[in-house]
Amino acid sequence: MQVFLVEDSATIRERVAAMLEAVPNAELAGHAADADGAIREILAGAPDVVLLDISLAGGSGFDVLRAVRPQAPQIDFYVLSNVSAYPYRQLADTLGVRGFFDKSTEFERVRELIAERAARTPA
Amino acid sequence: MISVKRKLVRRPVLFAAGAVLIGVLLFANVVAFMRGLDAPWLLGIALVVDMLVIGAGIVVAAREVLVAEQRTEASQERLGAIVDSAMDAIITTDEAQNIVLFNRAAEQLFRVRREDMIGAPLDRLIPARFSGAHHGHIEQFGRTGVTSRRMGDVTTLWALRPGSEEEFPIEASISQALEDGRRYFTVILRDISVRKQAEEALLASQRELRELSARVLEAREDEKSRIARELHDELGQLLTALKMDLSSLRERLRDTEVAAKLDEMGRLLDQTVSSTRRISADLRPLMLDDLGLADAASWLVDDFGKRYGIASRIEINADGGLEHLSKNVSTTVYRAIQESLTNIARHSGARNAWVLVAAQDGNLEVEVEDDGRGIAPEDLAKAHSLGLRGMRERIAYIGGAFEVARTPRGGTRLRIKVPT
Repeated sequence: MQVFLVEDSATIRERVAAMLEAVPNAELAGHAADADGAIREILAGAPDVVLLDISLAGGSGFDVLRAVRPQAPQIDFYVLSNVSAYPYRQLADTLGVRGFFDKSTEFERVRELIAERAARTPA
Repeated sequence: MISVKRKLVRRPVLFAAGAVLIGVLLFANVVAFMRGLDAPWLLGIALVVDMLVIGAGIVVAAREVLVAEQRTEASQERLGAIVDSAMDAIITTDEAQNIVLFNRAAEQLFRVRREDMIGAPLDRLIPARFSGAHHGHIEQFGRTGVTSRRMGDVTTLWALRPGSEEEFPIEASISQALEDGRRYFTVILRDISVRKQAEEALLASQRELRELSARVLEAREDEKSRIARELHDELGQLLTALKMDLSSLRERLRDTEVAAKLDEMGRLLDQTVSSTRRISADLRPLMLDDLGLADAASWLVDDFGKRYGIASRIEINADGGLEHLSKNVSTTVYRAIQESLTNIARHSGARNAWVLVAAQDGNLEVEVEDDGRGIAPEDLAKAHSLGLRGMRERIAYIGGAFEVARTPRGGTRLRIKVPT
């Protein structure tokens, strides 16, 4: 299962990468730190799953969703963000994400979810 | 005063003396005529006496006329002295708007000589562009028959120094009087350049102060924004990384005592994260920049209700009107709602709060109402309502209107209207 990571903090990227490594059948396909780079690379690489941060170095995760979702509806988006008040969740919902997780308090649930999703994906 | 007394004493004495004299004279004449044939010399005496009396009468009458004339002259002189010593310029014109009186103050004000102005048209003292309107006004004033009124109640009046292009603002009143069937207009005016300048300077300084205070607020908002962002992003990310590390450590640990300690650390980290986010949001809600006013205001009202236990509802009738607000407008409106809610929590004792945001016809209207004890009129002016004053200033700066009042049922209602 190919996972693309959109995250502007290197510190967090390292840890998410380490988490993904521990999940069988999951592979980090690439990463981007800003919205434009993310849109370009996701559309080019067509990963199975995108882990998406909301506040980015340039633009926001919402920009990525608005640009990519209509063109590649088969890609599953999961938001992993430090901004998690309900208006953000609502907006992410309307833009068609599969899950929304608080980076600090719900990180462990992402790991479980990725593991589950990887198990369902043919290798 | 003295002349008045003399006049009062003299008249009755004169009349009495005159009456006695006429009586004696009549008697003497009758006697003279009856005995005239017998004694012609008596007739002669009577005739001489009659002529003397008639002569004396003529002299007295002539004196009276002379005194009256002198008095009129004196009174005119007094009036002239008053008009001349007046601080204000006084100008009288005849019906044809030609100058017939021009006092010393007028000479000084217009920097001309009286001799040059007497007989000259008043137009020489009025800037050409106002001349036509002025004539119209004077004619109308003449027709109304009102004796006097202030001129230029709404607009500033301007006068012109003859022989130069120099104009200056004046304040003037006009009166009219009929004399021997002719109409005369008298204008009393003064130069208000200095007052005008002071007024303008005051307005300019108020404008500058308002601008300065808006800039200070804006700078403060930017600063808060920056700190909020850094707290949330920088510190937040580091705490998140710590939390991730902690949970991966926790996974690998079998020692229950150490694991319990790590769980405790995890809880502390969660608290630290949530404190950081709260501090950041209090400084500046990033949501306002990320999602816009509608979401940020909804979240603010919900969060307020939870924090203070006041049932709070928000209704937004915007129809897309909140999407492209300038940062200044959305910040001002957001801060106004926030300030009002804070006031409700602090002072009102309310159980319910309602917020209404509506966008229509290029305006954004906001109402914040509560069912508390209601703001007292004197509180509006008190020091602790500095928040209100600040709000008023900010709203005025972006061209909006602001009012706070008690609602009919007793609570407080704040209304804001700003152009978008």
